[in-house]
Amino acid sequence: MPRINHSALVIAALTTTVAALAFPVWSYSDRSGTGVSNTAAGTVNTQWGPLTASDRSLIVRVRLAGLWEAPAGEKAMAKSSSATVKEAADHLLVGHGDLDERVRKVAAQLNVELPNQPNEAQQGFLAQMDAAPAGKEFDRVWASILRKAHGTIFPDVAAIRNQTQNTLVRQLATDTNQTVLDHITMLEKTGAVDFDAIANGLI
Amino acid sequence: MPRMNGTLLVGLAIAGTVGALAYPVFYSYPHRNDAATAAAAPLAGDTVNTQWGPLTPLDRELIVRVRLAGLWELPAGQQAMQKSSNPAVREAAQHLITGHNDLDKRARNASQLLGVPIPNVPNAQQQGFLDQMTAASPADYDRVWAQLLRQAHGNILPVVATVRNQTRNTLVRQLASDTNQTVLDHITILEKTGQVDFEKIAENAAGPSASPTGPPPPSPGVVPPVAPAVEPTTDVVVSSKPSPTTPGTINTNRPEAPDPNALPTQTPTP
Repeated sequence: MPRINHSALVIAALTTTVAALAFPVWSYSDRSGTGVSNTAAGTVNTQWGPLTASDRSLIVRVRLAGLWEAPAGEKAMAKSSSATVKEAADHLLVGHGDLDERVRKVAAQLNVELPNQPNEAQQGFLAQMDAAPAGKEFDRVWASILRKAHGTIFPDVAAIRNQTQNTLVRQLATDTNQTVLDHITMLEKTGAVDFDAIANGLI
Repeated sequence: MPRMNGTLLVGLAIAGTVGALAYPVFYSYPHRNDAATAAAAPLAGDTVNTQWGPLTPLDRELIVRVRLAGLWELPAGQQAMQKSSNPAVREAAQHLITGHNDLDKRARNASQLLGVPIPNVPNAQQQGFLDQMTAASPADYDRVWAQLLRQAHGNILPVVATVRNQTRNTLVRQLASDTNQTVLDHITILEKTGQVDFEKIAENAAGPSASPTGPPPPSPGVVPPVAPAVEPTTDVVVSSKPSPTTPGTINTNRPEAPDPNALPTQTPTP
């Protein structure tokens, strides 16, 4: 009788041990804390192909870009005396006027709701521009904030251009890629962009 | 004596078990993001200064990758000109040949001026792509050809965009701009062949984790309110032109690349 109890005890202990050893093998597969990928999460079908959450994110971000970068362009036209800053502002106004028209058309076709106000961060950017004294300081703040924002979205646009299965989003990503690269180039031409700060993530 | 051995055995087994239990807690789990952290750190690494600005490992990687692209995509373009009778595939092949001839010159120029060593043969993976094209049956050829090339161009586009954003080197900056135009042109023309499987590309892009995030899907039957146009609130006079071109075309016009053989050679930087 005591012999059977001991065996049971040992077997129970072994089972627990093996289970404890196996557990990290399971938890390791989820080691970065993210769920297993589900590319179809939130995807809906449209006549132009599947529309994913990432696709909708691009549409909203292109709209948001126009909502604060067009006013930013106007501020530079009114406040800066630099010819290259005004030229860049001209490109921002024309480029985002054009992209906004495209994104509103795409959003209407795909039934994606668009914001009509810049988000909080973007309103903060506009406030920083308002607060900067006219002259070199305004030009530096203006060009650096805009260059940073365009540089941040550029790889995201490229990723969507690669992976989208929606023909409308694909064309929007192409048009956005071309416009953003133009704006990056024009903003850099002002000579007011701090490249070290951008490379080190300090802006 | 047998009792002693038994105790020793049990003692060892317990120590082994406790060690195995502790390992994931004290080693594997705290170090779970090491690989990702290492991958994200190249900026500080072996950055060297040049007269065109700092040159980072990521900058050098772009130069090498543009060179490698030419080394396998030129032969791939030439092969399609021989093996495919599909006009759209042949048009794409011509874009590849023209585009990579031009980009290769630019990559070799950057390599020479910046002293970055570049390869002269495709890497093993690219050689494998060429082998797959060679082995494809005539019925499969166009599909295999377009898919491999579209996938490769789609993979590099976000890398080019990242380098374009963060480089502090003026030569690399221009190379990244030119590469963006050429790669986007090739993606567009490869898609025009109608041979690309977009679902496979989306699957490859998704990676092993992280679901897409973004606004919720539209509710069926609900039409969102019309968004007003973004318009200037003041009287501003503008004269520039929008950048987008006719759908299906990408503007790859740019000044001719200088002849790399006419450039001074620099000693390679470490």
